[in-house]
Amino acid sequence: MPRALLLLTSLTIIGVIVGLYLALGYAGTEIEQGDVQRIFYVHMPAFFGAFVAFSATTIGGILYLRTNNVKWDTLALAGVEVGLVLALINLTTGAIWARPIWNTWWNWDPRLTAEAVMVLTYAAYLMLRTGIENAEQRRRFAAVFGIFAIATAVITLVIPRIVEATIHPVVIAQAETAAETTAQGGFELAATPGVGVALGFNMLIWALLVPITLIWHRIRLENTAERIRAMKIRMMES
Amino acid sequence: MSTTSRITLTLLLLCSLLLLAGGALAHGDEEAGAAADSNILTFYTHPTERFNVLIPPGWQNVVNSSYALLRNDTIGAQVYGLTAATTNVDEAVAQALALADLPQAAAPSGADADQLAFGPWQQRTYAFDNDTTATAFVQQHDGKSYVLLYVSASAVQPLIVRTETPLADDASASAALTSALTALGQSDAIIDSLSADSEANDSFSATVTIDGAPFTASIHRDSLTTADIIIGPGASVAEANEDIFTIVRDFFVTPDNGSYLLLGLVVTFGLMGLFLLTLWLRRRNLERDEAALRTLTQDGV
Repeated sequence: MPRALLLLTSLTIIGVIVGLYLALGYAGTEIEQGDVQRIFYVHMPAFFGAFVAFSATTIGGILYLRTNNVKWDTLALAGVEVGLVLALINLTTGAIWARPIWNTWWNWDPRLTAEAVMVLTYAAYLMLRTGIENAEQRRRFAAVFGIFAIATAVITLVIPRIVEATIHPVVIAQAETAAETTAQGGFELAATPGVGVALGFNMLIWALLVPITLIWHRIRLENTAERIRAMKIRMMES
Repeated sequence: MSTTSRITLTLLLLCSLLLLAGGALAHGDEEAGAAADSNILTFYTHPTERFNVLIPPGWQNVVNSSYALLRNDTIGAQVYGLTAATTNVDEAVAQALALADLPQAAAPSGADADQLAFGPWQQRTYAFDNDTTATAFVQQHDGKSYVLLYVSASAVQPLIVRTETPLADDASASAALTSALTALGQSDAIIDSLSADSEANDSFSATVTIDGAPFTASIHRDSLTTADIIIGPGASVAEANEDIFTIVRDFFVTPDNGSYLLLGLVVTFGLMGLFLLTLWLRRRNLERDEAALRTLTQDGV
């Protein structure tokens, strides 16, 4: 393993531990929601982590179409896998938070629906990828799919700001946004001590270090798989 | 074992340890707090969530088996807390008024209703003879009504008011106070003066004339869309009256939902652990394949 990746992995592990301490021990308990609000320190950064990973897929797709270099396709694939894991963490922790706060596990709220569509879109990316035999065709198709699929992530991100009929709280926004008229479960960042520090740190870890580290590991795995595929072809040809 | 495998295994082990430690920490704080502070009073136990009330300094807990009673003799106030097995708010409030030896059939001078995450919420104000006033806060949940009745011997009335805009300036504070006066059935009251108490613009004081008599009001931002308001006769209202809001928030809306937090952490690290496990398994299988291919190549197959 490259020294830089080893260092990054160590930093990420330490960061996750410190982030957990900040979320569970340092940040105060939100007065109206109780302890379950602490899920938020993973829930929201996990979405941004997924967004970063899916952005890597888009960038990988664009660069593959421009250069035909396989390494960009590998980046795109790694981005989807890592992004899906983080999006699933975001989706499930959201449902767990919603049970005591909204009194339901799931609601067909615009943001929740948009996120479900996003997860299904990227799951379809992986499924469709396996269905195309020709490698060149597969990469080209995946690149185009990955470029367009980012729209689902962007919509998920902005939808509570543009649709009034949402109960999903907008955390980082002006207090007067229209969405807040119906939002439930929101809270003021400054109202509880330690929230800003815990959120900022966990954003750095879950939205940057975690996806970058995992994508790097996934790329190395794919490179190994590619090397073995090449060995097999050489053997068959000889 | 390769370096990657070692790191992956260490990561999985760490995740498991974190999972256990996180849950313990989330619950440990509460248990330690409960043990250290004997002032915590459990009003009732919900099947899935426990609600506690921390008794503010200066208030006495009058132990009673069927209802809760907190009293502060300095300001002449009592808080009755009870669980009524009915969703009829009239009946529930009547039970609370009976506990306080107040006329059960009294008509509220004002009423306010809202739908909160846990169920319908109501707030009613009452004015009796000899300056006694009462405010009833009622939360309905699972077919029951949880009532907190604030009784003041000096005509002090606390109210929670929903605001259209966040309480951040004189205009929004004035609007919140007007809503409170309307809720009290005093829409003819005149706001004589209003000023901010803090630079943060989340606390305001006002003087009000109600039926020709001077009153004082304190307005405090509670959340983005609610304000806590105390209105009482004279030039000032004792700060201890504001303790009712702490009691109300603890009683109604701060549940023990640590188990959901624990579940969230289990899912988070479970999903992450599963992904890391698949990475490790895939790498192990590839390494085996590579080793087999190299052996075959060396054997000249």
